[in-house]
Amino acid sequence: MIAYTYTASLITMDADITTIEVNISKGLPYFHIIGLTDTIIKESLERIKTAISNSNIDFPMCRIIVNLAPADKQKRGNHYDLGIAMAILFSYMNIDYKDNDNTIFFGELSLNGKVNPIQGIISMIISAKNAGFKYAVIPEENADEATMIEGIKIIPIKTLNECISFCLGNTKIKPYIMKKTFTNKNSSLDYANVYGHESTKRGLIIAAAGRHNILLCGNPGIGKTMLAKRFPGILPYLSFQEQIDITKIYSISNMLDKDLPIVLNRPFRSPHNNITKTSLLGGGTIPKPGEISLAHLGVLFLDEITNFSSECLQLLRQPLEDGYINITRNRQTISFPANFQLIVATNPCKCGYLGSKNHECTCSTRDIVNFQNKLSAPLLDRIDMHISMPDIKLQEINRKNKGMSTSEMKEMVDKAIRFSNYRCKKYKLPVKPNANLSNKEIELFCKLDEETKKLVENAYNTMKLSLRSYMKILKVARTIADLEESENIKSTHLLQALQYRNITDLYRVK
Amino acid sequence: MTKNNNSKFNEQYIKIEMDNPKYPIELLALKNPPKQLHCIGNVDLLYGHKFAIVGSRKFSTYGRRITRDMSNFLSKSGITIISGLAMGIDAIAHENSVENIGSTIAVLGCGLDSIYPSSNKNIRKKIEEYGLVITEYDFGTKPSKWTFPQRNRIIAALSEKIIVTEAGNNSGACITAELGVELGKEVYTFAHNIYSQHGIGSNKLIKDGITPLFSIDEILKDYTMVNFSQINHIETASSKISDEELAILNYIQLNGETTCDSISQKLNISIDKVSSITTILELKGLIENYLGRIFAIK
Repeated sequence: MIAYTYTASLITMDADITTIEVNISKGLPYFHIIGLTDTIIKESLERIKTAISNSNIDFPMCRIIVNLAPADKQKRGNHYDLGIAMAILFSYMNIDYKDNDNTIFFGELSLNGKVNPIQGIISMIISAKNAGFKYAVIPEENADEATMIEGIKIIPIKTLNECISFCLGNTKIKPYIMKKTFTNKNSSLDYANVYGHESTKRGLIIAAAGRHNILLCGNPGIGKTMLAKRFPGILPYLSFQEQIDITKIYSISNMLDKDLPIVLNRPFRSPHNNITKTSLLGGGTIPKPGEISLAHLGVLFLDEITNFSSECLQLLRQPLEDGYINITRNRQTISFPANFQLIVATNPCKCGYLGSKNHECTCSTRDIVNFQNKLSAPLLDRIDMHISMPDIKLQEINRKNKGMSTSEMKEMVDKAIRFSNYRCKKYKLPVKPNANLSNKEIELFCKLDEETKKLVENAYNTMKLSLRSYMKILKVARTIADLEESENIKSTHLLQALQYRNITDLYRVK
Repeated sequence: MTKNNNSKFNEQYIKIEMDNPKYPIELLALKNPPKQLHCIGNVDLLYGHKFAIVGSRKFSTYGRRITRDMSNFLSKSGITIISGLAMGIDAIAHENSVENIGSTIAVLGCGLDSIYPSSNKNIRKKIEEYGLVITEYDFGTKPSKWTFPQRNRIIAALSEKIIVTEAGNNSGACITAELGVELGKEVYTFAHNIYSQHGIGSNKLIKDGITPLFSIDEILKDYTMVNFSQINHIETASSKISDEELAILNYIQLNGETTCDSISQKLNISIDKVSSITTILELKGLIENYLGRIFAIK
């Protein structure tokens, strides 16, 4: 007799609905799964067989064929076990489960009949909801994560037996309701603890408001990492949809916190500089999101940028412009979101002390030139703001005057973003951060008066700017004007923006 | 005579041999004067007022500043600057002279066909166009350890005064200074920080009796031909600046070197205002920003 259940297959970010068909016919005992499966699914035969036996049900000694449809789509993962087991039992025990067409099953079986948790549940639940399913039967441990999605009833189960009696209608399981509430908890990292560096903090506010990528250049131990780590704190809070988007990525990467099934705060990723291009961009035989996707809607911090392989850095250019990454594998092209803000930190030279007051730089001229050549990769062109951090003398740290705290800085950022979003709406354009403005939009938003035009012309010639860095300066000036809620860019805004021009211009020996 | 197999140079370059009346007589004071000079550029520069600015390849920001200011000052006063087109101080001296439409002579330690160091490619091109490049070496001579001290004697012989702006320990610039003293030239240097390795050579020269300079314009005090009209450009520019700009400029000049953060803290002006004013001052050419540190120019 033939029976079927539904589950989903998760290869990329979004899951596809899969039908599990089981046919039990007379013949020599035989159990086989077809439908472009991987080793995990092939091995599931033994798990299913033993789990059914250990749930006090005799495993049918017949010819059993399991088909996963559509047959041309690659399938992978451990979450098919429960669906296959249920389809076998529906066929073998003649169970007539009235909501079968509206129910989707996920779960891995343990040999003793227990249902084990799986990864990537949130993407699969979203697909199930969009496909019109009403119930999702899932492992109890995954219930918190799955309940994030509204519009589908979550049935948490512990064992295979529990699932059978639910389908028979013997026991009623109430749809799971989340018991805990999750709120944005503020990080313990506060900018108030960073002494001095007020000008750099001002730069970070501008970067946060316009979502500009930043380069921090300074002597070792000056606090580049400290400042970068606190950066997500001043970015605007995530919307629920954004939280779900990030949670999907963390869910398929199996990186969700057990106690916190949703990503609430903007991620901050700082991969070490010996990272391979696969783990940075994503990929592998089983495509996994890389660091750039894990930093989606958050911050990717690359410390000691010159130590990263130049291949890795070159490959960053495309996702930086597009906001996603395409990975081509033998059977399909997978797209992972990668809309991150890049913070890059570097020393000014090989020994690190070029331009320091307290230490002497021991690099030869050649060392310095070589170091700058490493920096002058086209990647720097995609970084709008270059901030040089001067070293601080201990006496200069004014401990009475604590400087800006994270909450003060965040308030300024939020205000500027509201202002720029309002401007986009006024022009009936899609809302986007200033860093992503196209040249046409720059022309529209960054109008300069006569005095400012003269000034920019002067700066262009004196500072020997390139056309690209001129455009970047206009974008940054627009953000500075937003911070002051100014309709037009004034000369003071432009002058401040010029401070963040390309670092290689600052190196230039006059 | 070696054959010139580089056709590119055929048209541009001029060869002055010892018996040529154009051969600079200063060179004859040497024990072993160069047999010939291969030149590209304006040969007339060989007969004007010429000062040498030399120093080591490695430099500090202090040395860079002195070299830049000295080169600017001399260029604007109409004096030709001679240097060795090496990396570091030499390159800074040449570059600033070219930028200020001054005249400059580069004395190479290799044949005209090799460009060494390659990082000075662009400066060399500019000097060929606006100044003069000379060498005693034939085409095809590669730069080597002994050619550089050799060309130093030409620099020393050609120049009226030799200024060692910054020299490290055992720098080639010290050799030029010694040769200059032997030839009876006026040699000057600047006092350096005794804790810095960049200025050891310069300080040693002072110990050996070389006159230290205490300001840039001191070098020309006994010259009457100086054209001062251009030198006062800074004073005229500063007359146009606002009170707030002046306050910040004064603070920077007082400290010599500072940062935006400390200006904001000491003068109690908000950081965004400080950063826009320092940019204005930078555009006006009154201060300089080097990797986040702000210096006063002049």
